[in-house]
Amino acid sequence: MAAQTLIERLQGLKAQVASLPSPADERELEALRVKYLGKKGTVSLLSQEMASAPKDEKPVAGKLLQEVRGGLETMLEQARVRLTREKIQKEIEQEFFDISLPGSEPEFGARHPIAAVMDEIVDIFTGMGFQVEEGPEVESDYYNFEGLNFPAEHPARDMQDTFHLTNIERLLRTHTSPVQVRAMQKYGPPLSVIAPGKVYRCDADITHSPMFHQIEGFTIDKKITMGDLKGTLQTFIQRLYGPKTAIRLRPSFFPFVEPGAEVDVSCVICGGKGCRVCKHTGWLEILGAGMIHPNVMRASKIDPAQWSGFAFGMGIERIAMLKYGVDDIRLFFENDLRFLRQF
Amino acid sequence: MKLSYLWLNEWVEHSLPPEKLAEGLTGLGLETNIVEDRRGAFKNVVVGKVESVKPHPNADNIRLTTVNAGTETLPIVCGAKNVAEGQTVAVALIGAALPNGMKIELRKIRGETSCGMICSETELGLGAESSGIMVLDDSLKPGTPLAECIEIEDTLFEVDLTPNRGDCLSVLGVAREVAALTGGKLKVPALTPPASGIAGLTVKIENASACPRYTAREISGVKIAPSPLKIRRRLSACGIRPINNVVDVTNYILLETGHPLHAFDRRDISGGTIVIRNAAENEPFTTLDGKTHTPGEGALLIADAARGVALAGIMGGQNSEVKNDTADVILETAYFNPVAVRKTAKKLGIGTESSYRFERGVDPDGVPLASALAAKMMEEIAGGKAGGFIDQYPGMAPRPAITLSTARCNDMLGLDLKDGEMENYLSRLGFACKTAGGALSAKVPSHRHDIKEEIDLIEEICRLHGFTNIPGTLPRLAQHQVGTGGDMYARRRELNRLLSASGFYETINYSFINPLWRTQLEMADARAAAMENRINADLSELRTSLLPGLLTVTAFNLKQGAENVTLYETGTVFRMDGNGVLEEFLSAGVMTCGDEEIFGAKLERGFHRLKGILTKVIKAITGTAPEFARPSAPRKYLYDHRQAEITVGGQVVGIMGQAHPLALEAFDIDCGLVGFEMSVNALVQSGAKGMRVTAIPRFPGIKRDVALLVDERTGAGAVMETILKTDPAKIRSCRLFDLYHGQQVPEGKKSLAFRLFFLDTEKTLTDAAGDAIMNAILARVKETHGAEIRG
Repeated sequence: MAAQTLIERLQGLKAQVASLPSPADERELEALRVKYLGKKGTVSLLSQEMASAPKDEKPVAGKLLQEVRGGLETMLEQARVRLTREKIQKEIEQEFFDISLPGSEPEFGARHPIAAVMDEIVDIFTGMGFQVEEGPEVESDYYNFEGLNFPAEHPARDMQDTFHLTNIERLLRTHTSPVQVRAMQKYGPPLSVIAPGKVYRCDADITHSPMFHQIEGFTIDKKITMGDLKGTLQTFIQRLYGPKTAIRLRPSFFPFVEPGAEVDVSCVICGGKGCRVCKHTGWLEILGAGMIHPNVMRASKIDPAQWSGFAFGMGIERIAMLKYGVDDIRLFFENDLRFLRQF
Repeated sequence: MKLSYLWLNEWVEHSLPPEKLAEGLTGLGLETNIVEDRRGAFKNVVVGKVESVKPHPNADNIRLTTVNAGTETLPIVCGAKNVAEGQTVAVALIGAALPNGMKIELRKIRGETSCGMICSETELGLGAESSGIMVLDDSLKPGTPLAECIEIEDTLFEVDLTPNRGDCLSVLGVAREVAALTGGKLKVPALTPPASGIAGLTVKIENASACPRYTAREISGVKIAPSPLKIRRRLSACGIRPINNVVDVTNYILLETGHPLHAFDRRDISGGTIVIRNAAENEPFTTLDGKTHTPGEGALLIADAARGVALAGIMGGQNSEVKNDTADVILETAYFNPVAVRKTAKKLGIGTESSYRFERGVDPDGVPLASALAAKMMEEIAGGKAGGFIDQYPGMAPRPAITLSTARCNDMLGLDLKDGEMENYLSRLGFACKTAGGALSAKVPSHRHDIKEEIDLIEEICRLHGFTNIPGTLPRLAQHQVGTGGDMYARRRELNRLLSASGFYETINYSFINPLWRTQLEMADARAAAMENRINADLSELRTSLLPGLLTVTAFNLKQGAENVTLYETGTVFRMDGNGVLEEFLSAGVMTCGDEEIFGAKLERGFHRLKGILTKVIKAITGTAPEFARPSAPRKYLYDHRQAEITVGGQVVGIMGQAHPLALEAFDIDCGLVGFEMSVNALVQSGAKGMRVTAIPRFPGIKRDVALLVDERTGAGAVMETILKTDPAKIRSCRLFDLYHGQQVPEGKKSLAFRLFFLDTEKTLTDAAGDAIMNAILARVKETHGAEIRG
């Protein structure tokens, strides 16, 4: 067999290189590199022969050599990248990582459940267009009773057993309703206010605390109706407890509203079917409400013939007790961290 | 108030079963619940006739009887002493279940078969009479179901009445509401008016405003005895203990008409006169429960010629009560002023069925009816003879009719009622109505003291129409005024959120504290306001600070085994100003102890940790970094040197520090405790300026670390200030990253390591420029603090 020309050998090498299988591991990769590109490798030896190649073959052979070397280098580099990635991936696939180890929690505290519920309710009402007003916790008889149509010596005062200060003629407010009178005096109509805060009554057992929280709300404008009261409370209750919740108004008596109503909510535990919490009635008493009494408007120098309004009030503890399944109100004021950390 | 269904039915025509009645009344505003339902409860209880009584062969105290129970004669073992041949009795047959839970079965008692039980009143749930078996009227036929013979299968309601509805505190009162609800007819008995005047008795009202009406009725020849079963059962069911027929009548008519009555023994009314007068200043009076009171001048007495005989509207006197030998009775029925009765009852601490009703207002025009019903009943059950009647009615101004604008009524309720519908609702409630040109004029029935003006009529119409029949609508609030009242609430909420996110748990403590807690902390405070606390007399002071309360709950939690206590509160504190006016401030306080763990490393919740948190929180709220300085008046409850006054924008807002160990002794706390209290009002005012951004630097700066050796007592804060002031334009930050004592640091010295950051806003700083700044700093701190660079 006649000796092949350099070009022919380079062409043969090119074909051989093109059909080389990709190396399976780093050892094969290195072996390939040494075999072709090492000092004594095929490509290196051929390039040494270039010097002695006939002059007219040189350009073609040179180009071929470049192509072979370039092709090899590219192939080997691609193989190296592939093998490295495969190695990393394999390590990652095989590692053991304990996701069950507890997370390192940052030390968050928590809002008190009463405060959290209060804010939730305030947010619903501010979203409906009410504005927040607050009033003093120590009140005069006027704002707490007289101005709210509780005449002196009226049995209605027995409904709210009052704490009095000893050295001055003041009392701890028994409800947030004084804010009604204060806000009406401060701004005048038309006005919509939500008034959250602490209130005090001389009463203590598992459902009564001498200090508790209320939210009072009222709207005063021209031609505000009892239907507006009902619609507002319906909207509020459905935002608080969900769209399926129903309300029921029953006539009741609070001196500062008339007509006055007790507002029941379909039981949030059983959905109205009857359970232990709702005493098998399907309803829970949550709010007191009504149309603002003309005497209350008069106390704020507002003409009841021109303006009308509604007012409502609710105890936060009761709502929080239902929401969180708390059955003793005292838990809220003991401030036991084992309780507070649950929120 | 307890209410008997069967009794109610005597006063009004209706066809509602108890459940529907309760629902209907609740819908009208009289919250009514069934508390006892005896319908069908006496199915196997029948009338029986005792045919024979023999001693039990094996026991001394029980007897063997045979009882004719209609269809058969049964052997029944009976333990009652009063059982006798020929008696008509109530027999519970086998299968009966009695209200006390007893189930009647075939039993052997000491070897003898017993096929039922002869019942006592107690066993039938009829009252407290249990001296033996109940003996019935002989005319009753054996075998007849007992429920057909005596009133026993009743339903009892509890009616929860609001204070405005005193007119409903009776069978008649509720019957009126039932009539209005159903349109049924009220069944008020027509009684012939009595003859006017009582021989030998005059009545004189001295205080007509306290006693607008007083009547007396003479009943003679009564025989005191127990009342019939029906009366006793009704009284017992309503919670009133039967006493004797005369007293029972007064109580019965009170429950029936809502009108309190009182019976005097006529022998004890001296001088033939009854005077309604005020008590003398120190005049003692003994009520029929044997207690002696000094009612005082404001109190109204019913007196004879010599002395008081009753405390008007509240309780009768011991000196004139009905006794076992009473024969002639003077029956008082009056109308007393609600406020007068309430004042005296409250002052003396007496509350009776009578005062309860007078306080809520009884019907002045209902007096004759109550009196006549009682007189008639005394004739029927006490064998008395009703005589003459004195009626003194000096004074109640007639009540004018009230005018209602029918348009306004619809506006208020969001309804579209016709005039006739409104009239109809009011008429059903006993109002006499006329409507002309949209104005409805209503004459108010005398029992409705709560109806005074238009709005009261609107409520009545609303009640009768039904609250559930009002459609819900939403008002437009967009044009309502916007005030500033919510600002503080929002800031407080933001503060609470920051404190919670910083690891603290919000607490809510009582606004009243034990003054001892304050004095134990040596927080002398003359500005504290005292209060009367009937729940817990020790908690008698309004808090001037949140710290005593926080300290108390901290101690509580430590006792419960908590290792880390991180509590805060924002709430009102109360202080008197110099003029005796009580002021309220919003305060925020934190109390904490224990260690914080961050990725396994423990960090003590000490002074500087809290200072750091406080700095962040105040910056977030006000946009201004707070400053901390030794207070001008150090607090005794804090370590002398571990306390700082918090200043924001030049205004002192509060105090922080570590609790003094001697102050903690009183609270039984023995761990390091740090805390702060600040005024939220002051904080909000001080931070009014808000913050502004600084531009992000365009050129890179240089970081340098340096450790300085200084005297132990040199404050790190002062060194930092000196460093920053060396070249304020270029030295942008100086952060302490290490405080070191120990090897290579001489005794009495400490090492402070700072990371510094230099920046030039105009150009890139060279190393040489950095060196120059560094040298200037070292020279300055050496000169000011004697600081040496640590090698």
